[in-house]
Amino acid sequence: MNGDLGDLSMMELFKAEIEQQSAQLNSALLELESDLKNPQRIEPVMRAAHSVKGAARIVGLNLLTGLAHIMEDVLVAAQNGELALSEDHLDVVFRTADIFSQLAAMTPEEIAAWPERNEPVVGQLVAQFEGILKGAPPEPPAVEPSEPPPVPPVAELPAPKEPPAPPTAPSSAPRDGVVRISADHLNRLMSLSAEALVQSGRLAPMGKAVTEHRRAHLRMADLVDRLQDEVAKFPLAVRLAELIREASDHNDAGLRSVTGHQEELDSFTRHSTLLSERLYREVIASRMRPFGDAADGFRRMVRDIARSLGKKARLEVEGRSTPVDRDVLEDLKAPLNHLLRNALDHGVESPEERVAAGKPEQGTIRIEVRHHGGMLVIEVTDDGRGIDLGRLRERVVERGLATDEMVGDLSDVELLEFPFLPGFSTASQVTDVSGRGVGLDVVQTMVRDAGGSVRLSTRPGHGVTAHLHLPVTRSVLRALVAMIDGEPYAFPLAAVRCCLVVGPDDLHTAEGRQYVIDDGDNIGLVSAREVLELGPGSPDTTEVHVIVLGTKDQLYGLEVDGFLGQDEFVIRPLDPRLGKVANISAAALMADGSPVLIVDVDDLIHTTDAMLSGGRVGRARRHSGASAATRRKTVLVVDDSITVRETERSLLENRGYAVDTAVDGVDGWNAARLGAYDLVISDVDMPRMTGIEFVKKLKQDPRLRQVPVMIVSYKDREEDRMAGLDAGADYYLTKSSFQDELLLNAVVDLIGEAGA
Amino acid sequence: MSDDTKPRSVAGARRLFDRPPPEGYLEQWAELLAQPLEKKLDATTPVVVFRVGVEWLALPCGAFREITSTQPIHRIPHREDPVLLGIMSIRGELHLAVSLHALLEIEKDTSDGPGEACSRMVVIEKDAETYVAPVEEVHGLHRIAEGELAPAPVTVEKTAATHTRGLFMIEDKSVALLDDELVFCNLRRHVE
Repeated sequence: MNGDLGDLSMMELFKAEIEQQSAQLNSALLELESDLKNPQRIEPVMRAAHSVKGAARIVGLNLLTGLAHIMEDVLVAAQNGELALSEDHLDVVFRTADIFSQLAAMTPEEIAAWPERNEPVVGQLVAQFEGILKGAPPEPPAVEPSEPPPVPPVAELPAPKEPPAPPTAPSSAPRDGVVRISADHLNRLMSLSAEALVQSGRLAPMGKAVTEHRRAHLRMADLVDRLQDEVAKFPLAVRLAELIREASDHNDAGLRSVTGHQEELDSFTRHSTLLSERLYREVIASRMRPFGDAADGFRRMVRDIARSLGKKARLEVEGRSTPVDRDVLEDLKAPLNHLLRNALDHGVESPEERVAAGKPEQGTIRIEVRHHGGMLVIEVTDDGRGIDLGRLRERVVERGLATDEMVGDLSDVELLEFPFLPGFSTASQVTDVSGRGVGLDVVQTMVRDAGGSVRLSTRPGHGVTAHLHLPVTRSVLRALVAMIDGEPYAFPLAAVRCCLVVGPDDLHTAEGRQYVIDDGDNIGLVSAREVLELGPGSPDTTEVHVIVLGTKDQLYGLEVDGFLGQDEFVIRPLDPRLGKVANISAAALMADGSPVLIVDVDDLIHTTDAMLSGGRVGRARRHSGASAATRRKTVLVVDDSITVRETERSLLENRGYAVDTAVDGVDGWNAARLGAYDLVISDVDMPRMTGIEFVKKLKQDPRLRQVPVMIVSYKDREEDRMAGLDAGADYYLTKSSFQDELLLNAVVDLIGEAGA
Repeated sequence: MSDDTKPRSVAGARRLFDRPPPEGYLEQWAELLAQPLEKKLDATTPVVVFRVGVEWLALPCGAFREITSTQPIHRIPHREDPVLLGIMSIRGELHLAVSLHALLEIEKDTSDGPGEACSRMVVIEKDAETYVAPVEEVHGLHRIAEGELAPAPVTVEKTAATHTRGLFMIEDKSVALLDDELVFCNLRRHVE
């Protein structure tokens, strides 16, 4: 009774609140309906009911408070798994939501009068809710008391703490002020900041030059001092002494000025370098996301899989906030998923076994993430049975991968490389979860693709750790730079096994191929110039520089001109206009600002392999193809429909013609002027330049007017035909007929067979 | 005789010159005088004139982003097309370097000694597509009127002629104005 004004504004607040809540309630209900069994879907519905209850209580709408309250109770029960929601139940909830919506549309006066008029309706709903809570009829008994429910309602783990009823929808508030920025922009920022860094590197030499300058002045000062001493011996040489003093003054002034400049330049260099470096780091950091973003899904997955295997396990993640490049983060999900499955299936024992071994019933899998030495290190550790190294040795011998003797000599680290071989599975039993023989080798491939490496370590009886080393970002790469035919090429360090510098005596020849022996391995040599199809010949050094690539079972030695050392590179994508460039994955800038190409080592190995086993097939084929093309007649097909273009192309190519295509009149006009065509086939209706204009242009051009032109169009009226022929077309064909022989017959009529 | 006729002719001339202009005459002239000047301004196109080999060429000014000094170019392995020279960096941004010499089949000018003939790089751009090309010399900006353009010789079966929209003269040099659309289209075809 504090006056109408206060009540009124309160009522308006209530109205706003219930308006918002009923909108959210309705969309949440629809989602719940489509996924009734999902407890997460109940949460927003319950939250809305809770908010309405609170708001109703504030304005003293007791009837509404009661309704919202009991609805909330029902939802909480459903969420706790004490009650299985049915569609009939939802109907009641939907009807309640309707009442909220009605209220939201009312004026404050109407709301004040609402309880009186609606008591019976509300009472009915409340009764229905009470019925539901008591497990009353409308729905068939859905509670199965046997097994635990198929999907557990809430995690047993420390549940995410969420406020019961946040005042506003959490989704509407931006979480950490994320803004969208186009990848193009980011790449350009990266380029510019990298260039700024390179440019600031040029300041230091300038500083040195100034220092040198200053030294010269100091030497001069020294000389002038000595001159003054000498001239003092001749008291009559007054004029000379004066001149020397003057020179000394000038030199001093110069020295002061240079010293000042030097200090200024030094401080500027320091600042500029620092600033560029920070800018650069900052831009790179803008691509980073915390590792936790990827880890969120894993915890639930571990729990579910453990349950399906009849085991108990939980996941601990350490270093959730470790920043990881968003691309790398994406690449990580699949291999981590695989490793976790492996750990659960083969690592963690059944609860009974664990208890018998004196371990806690519940197994623990830990993911530890940190930066180390410029790399992202991820360790996935389980506390399971570990790998039995004796059994692994037996298995290696069984599979014929090594002899008994060799296996005995292998260190544990070397031995643990075997599980990564394709088809090598230590699991005695194939399960749904893992162990289909596509286990660790897949992980290794994926991690390698992301530019990283993976290895295992084990403490028998106490678990296995998978160690993943990945680049923190894929935008920055550590690479070895080698000169090939006078130009620098960067080889990602992760893909380089080692580098060798050998003398001519260390080269061996077998079957016409050169190889070197390193650490007992025969490494076949291939010239990088040859693989990359660069200039022939080899450098005039007596030493041979070799980069060793490949895996233990297959090593390749790439002969390069020399090594420039290793460095960190900001990766730039190759110009998309180039398309796929064989053996090259990207480009970067050297410290001096000149470009360097980054080698796609896997692709290079493929090429090398093909070269070694079959000679250079690709090259030969390309040349013969080119010479064949010159003999064939060439047709230019101009049409804005890709379907028509490609149909015509395949028709013509099957008949033996060479075909070029253009997508509209302008494109066609350019193409026609550039190429020597025997025939042009054009559509009429095209953007930018119609076929009629295009044909007119062709027929007006002194060089092109003799090239026959055929129009292929949907337009089949006589005046369309005439327009085409008037423009200068030699033949007019309607599209309805081009699939059959008509098109080809017309082409042969105009220019003859392809090979003539 | 002349003494007699003079005053009369003067008076006559006066009358002739001082006669009131016919209807609409002034407006007509005003319009006429205003017209051609404006037209001429419209018709001049600013172009940048440069030298490739021994040929003087021009492209519309709008196609030029900048002119810069020579920078190292890195070749692209497996690409044998002589038009595609490789990639190069201009202030940290990587660009495709192309050879206008190869595109237009013009030989490099080796008269100033081999190798170092190309002293400038032109950065040309159209529809957000950028290329960098080494050229022997950049003459600078020039305005040409449409009327100045002579048609490119039809009989010459040279690639350069195909790309030429017309010829014009600067001092004693004959300059070929290139068809920028065709040049970019053709560059694209070679690069891909």
